Amino acid sequence: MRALKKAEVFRVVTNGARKVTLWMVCVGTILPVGAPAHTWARPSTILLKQDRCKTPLSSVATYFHQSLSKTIACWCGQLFPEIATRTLTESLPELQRLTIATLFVALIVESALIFVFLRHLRESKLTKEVLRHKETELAETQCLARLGSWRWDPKTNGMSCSHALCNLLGIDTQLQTMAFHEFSYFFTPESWNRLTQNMKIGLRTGASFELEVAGFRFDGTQMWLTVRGHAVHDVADHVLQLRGTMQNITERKRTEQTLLDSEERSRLVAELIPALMWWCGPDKQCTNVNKEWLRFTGRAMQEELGDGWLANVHPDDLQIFLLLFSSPFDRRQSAAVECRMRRNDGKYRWMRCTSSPRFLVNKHFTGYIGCCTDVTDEKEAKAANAEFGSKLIRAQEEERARLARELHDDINQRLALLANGLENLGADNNNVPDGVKCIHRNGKARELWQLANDIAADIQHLSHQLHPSKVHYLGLTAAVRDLCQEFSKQHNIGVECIVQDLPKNLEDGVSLNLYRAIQECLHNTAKHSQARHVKVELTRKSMLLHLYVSDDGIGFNPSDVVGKGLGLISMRERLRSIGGELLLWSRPSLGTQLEGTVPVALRQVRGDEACVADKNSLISSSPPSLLTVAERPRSHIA
Amino acid sequence: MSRVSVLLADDNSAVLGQVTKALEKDYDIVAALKDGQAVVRECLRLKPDVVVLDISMGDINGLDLVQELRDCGCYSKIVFLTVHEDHAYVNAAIGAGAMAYVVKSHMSTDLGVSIKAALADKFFVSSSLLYGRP
Repeated sequence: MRALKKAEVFRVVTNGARKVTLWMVCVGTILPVGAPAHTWARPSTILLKQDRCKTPLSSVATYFHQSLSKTIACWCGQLFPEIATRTLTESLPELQRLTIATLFVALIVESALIFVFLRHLRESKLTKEVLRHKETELAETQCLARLGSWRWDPKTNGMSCSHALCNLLGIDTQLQTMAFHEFSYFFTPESWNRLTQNMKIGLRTGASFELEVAGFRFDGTQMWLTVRGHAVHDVADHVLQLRGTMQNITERKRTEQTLLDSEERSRLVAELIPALMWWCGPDKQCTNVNKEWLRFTGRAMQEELGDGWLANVHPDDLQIFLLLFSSPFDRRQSAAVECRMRRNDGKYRWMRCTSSPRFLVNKHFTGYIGCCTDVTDEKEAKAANAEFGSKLIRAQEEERARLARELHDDINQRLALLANGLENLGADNNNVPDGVKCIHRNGKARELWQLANDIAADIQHLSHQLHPSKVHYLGLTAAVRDLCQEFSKQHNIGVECIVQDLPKNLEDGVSLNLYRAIQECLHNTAKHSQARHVKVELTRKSMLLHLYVSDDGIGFNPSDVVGKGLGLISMRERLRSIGGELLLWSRPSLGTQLEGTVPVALRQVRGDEACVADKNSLISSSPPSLLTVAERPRSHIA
Repeated sequence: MSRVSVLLADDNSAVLGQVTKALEKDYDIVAALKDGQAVVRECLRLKPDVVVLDISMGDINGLDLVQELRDCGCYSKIVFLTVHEDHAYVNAAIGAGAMAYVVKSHMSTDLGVSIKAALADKFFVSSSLLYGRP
């Protein structure tokens, strides 16, 4: 069976060639597998025409050189041992052993020759196939690259164009050769002049050339071309002809022009607006600044380029500025940084620098464009406003404290004395021993004593409302806990109060303003939130006090309360007056969260200056702030 | 048997006068101070058995003063006499080391009792704070 399979394979292969004749001995039968054709297939033909049993050994052997026959027989015997064996034992038993062997050798030799021929044919066919494939590929590539090739033979003055170039120029692909001067039709006169000059030089010197030219398609459509050319030399190094390519670059030219126009427009705008503008490349190096920048810094353009522009930034702000600038830059995000920059008079001004990444139409990153505006006046106005707010709050608190003191230390003490006098009056009248006097007071004295005590209680309450003396006498921790407890009792709202790690000697101003902020917050909760639970958390983390108040109430949209009510403004101003800030988050039906941070400031103790945190220094030395890099989940209180 | 010595400290003169008048029959009033800052010095010098203090004495916090006295080694019995009718103050006063807390409006009835209780190492708080106002 294996022999049959091999024979079948052999048949298929030879049929594929379609050029030779092959007779093959297999399992005792001579099988026709092709038509007679070639001369060197003669042994088979002889075998076919003659009686194989009478075929003499010499008639076959004469066709081959003896040594060659042996070699081929040996080789084929190794390749087809089954065929050889079966032929000898089964197919032709009547033949002489030598005759059979010779016949087989003849067939095998013929097969080998056919193999060689077929191999030759197949290789030739494959080579042609590859060549045709490559030509197709080349044509497709030229088409995709909008590129065509040309050849100019100066002897015939013929200009040969590839199919792709014909397509590019919009002419019939049959017209692949034209006279050199006819080619001028496709170029503007100026371009044709440049092109011919370059070609003549190339012809004379053998130099290659590349130039961009303006041209036309056959239908008159304008286009831009890149023409490349080089000389072809003969063995004697004489220039025979010029060859080259033409590529359609119209689209690129249009994009470049659009970009140029856009750049020009933006530069024009940049020169007109009264702000400092800068451009930098993908390497963070400054590539350009506008006139306003130069006017502000008083330096030359050359000094600003590269890293030069950073020399204007205040040394204290430089490190943080670079950090805040680099981080969004590397992520190709917009950024806003505030820093101090030196003006031409040597003074530093606060500048708000915003920047955005620049991309080409193809999304290629080309660097950043930035704008800096002087916000010194704005900052000073804000600082003055904050200072004024702080002073106002301080003055208000001082006045309230004075009134509270008057009520508590004077009126209340006198009322206490009055109550005692009334109590003694009752006791004297009844002449009873100490400790049981109160139960023996006469009716009128008791009534007056009760009245005096009620007035004293009301005044004490009023005094506490005016100024929470608990903060001063008991400390912020006890005062806040007491406040929460009172609030819960008064409004029937569950309050979880966590106050821990607060320093005992916290500055009175800090304690009072934090207490007031919590008081205001709880007041708002009771008034607007419809909450059932409130959480108040006041803790110390390092040199910051963190205040967090949240409720499970109906919430609100922060933008709806901008400019309405003084509660939120008051809270913000209070925390700002002690160097802190306040954030508010709320959404309808999602409750309200309020978060505040305040730097720790300790009460000044004589001879212990070191324990006092300089609140003002904390405010004034705050580093440049990153404004819009990340979206904050919580909005500032307006 | 020597009488119990009492040091009084209150920034209100009228109160100071009335307390002196109320206690001088039964106790030896060694000093009646308006100035809170002098309390520690005089306590160390006179070593009274009982110190009757107000919480609010101008800028001086009576609660801090107790801590200061303890730090200086003065272990006189402390009785607070104040107008703050509030449990938070009572807790703070007892926590600071006081033995008694008397509300000024009940001074005539409670002060003598509170001093006796303090001397007997018993805590005393004005009845209006324990049971509310009568």
